[in-house]
Amino acid sequence: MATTTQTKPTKVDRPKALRTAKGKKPQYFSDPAIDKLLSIVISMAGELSVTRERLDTVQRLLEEKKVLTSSEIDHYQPSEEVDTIRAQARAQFLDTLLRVVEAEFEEITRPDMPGSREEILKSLT
Amino acid sequence: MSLYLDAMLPNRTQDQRARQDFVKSFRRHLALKVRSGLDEVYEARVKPKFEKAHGREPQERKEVRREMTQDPYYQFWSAMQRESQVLMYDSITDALEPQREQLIERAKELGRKAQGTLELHPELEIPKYHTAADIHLMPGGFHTEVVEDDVSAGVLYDAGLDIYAFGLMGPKKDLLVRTLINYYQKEYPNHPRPTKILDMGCAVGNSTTSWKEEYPDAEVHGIDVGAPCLRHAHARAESMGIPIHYKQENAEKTSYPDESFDLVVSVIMFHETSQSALPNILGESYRLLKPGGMMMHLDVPGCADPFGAFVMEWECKNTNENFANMYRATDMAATAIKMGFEEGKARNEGAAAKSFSPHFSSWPVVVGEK
Repeated sequence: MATTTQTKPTKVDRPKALRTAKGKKPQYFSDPAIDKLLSIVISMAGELSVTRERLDTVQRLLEEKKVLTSSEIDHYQPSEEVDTIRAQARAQFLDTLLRVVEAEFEEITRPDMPGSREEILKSLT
Repeated sequence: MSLYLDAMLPNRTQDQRARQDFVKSFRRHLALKVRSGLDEVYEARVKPKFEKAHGREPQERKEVRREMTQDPYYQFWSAMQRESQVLMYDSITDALEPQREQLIERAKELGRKAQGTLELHPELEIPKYHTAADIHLMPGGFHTEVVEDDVSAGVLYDAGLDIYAFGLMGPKKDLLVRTLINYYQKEYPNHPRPTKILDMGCAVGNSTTSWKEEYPDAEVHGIDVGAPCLRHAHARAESMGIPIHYKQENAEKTSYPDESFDLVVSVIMFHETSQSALPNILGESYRLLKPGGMMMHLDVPGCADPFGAFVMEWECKNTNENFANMYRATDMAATAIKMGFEEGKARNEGAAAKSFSPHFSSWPVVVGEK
């Protein structure tokens, strides 16, 4: 058999746009983690704003196409069943959102949680 | 806003537009609501604290900076202000990246039926003051090309101008050059109508096209070191039906012959250069002027009051307008005279304007007559 040359088609990657500016980023707070957290919170606020606008577009289109009016949305009365589904969804949302608090709680209360790093290291030997 | 002005800007989906609009509203909120609180915070707690410790008011910008950067209100404003600028370019990139090749094609298409010209010099060395850090936090700066014939930097800068000043620059983003043109016409009504104009550091040509609109019979040239900006500028101008001659040149040393222009102008360029470039550009301006010609460079203001000066230096310390403080410390007219203008023929003046800040009411203009 002849020697195989690598002719596997190589996927040409589209060069990525640059996302990070060259330079020195100042630190604003005593703990750099706060800087990062603030950036994340602002990005989240942005995404919320984007979602609200999208919802607004959906509402306007539904009204334009005479599917329903926004007043119908405002006066919507959820049935008991819908209420239950929503309550579950909210609980799950809060679980996800406050996962970091839950983790700390587990750290304190779970019996199999190691008390310290030293304890973990000891158990490894 | 007329459509033609958007010819070189990416189309936006519902969410891309909403993301950019969020950043615009966020910046407006920071500028009009949060930033004004800095004055009160300074008066109410920062200054009294300093006075108590030192028995006097802060006298220097540095003293104000030392105290203010420890203040939690300032820290939050400053961190959010920087973040808004990061998100600004990021939200534009979201729309730009998928359409990059289409925009490059559009620029080429507009270039094929051009009335103006575009001359690029890839061998031109990009000055250190552009490559050391990305000015404005615009990833890649004015010059970086991600792909061949790239226009990305131009798109980022052009779309950024609108978000940066939350629409105050106007649909043609020509607020500052209009300020300079008004100043010129009001202060020098007897200066002969210019027939050849050079706009230095023109970026996407948002000032250059206004000079041509104002003086349609004049031949108008725009130079910049950034090729992607110039490609964008050329296409933008052509889409507006305004013929401009764009050329990739370093304003410190151009290839135009002596005495080529009636007007040599720029808008907010010098504060993004360097200590060695600044006098060179003034000298080059002199060389390029015809006898009787005029140089007018408008740039960012400073402030004599230490607190105002501290507020105004924010971009210098936070968004890579690194040379701005040194620019402000330079006597432009004196430097212009050192670089060739006759004594008394170069002056530091101010162009009155509606401003973004309570700390200034006019833009500095260095004027030179030959």
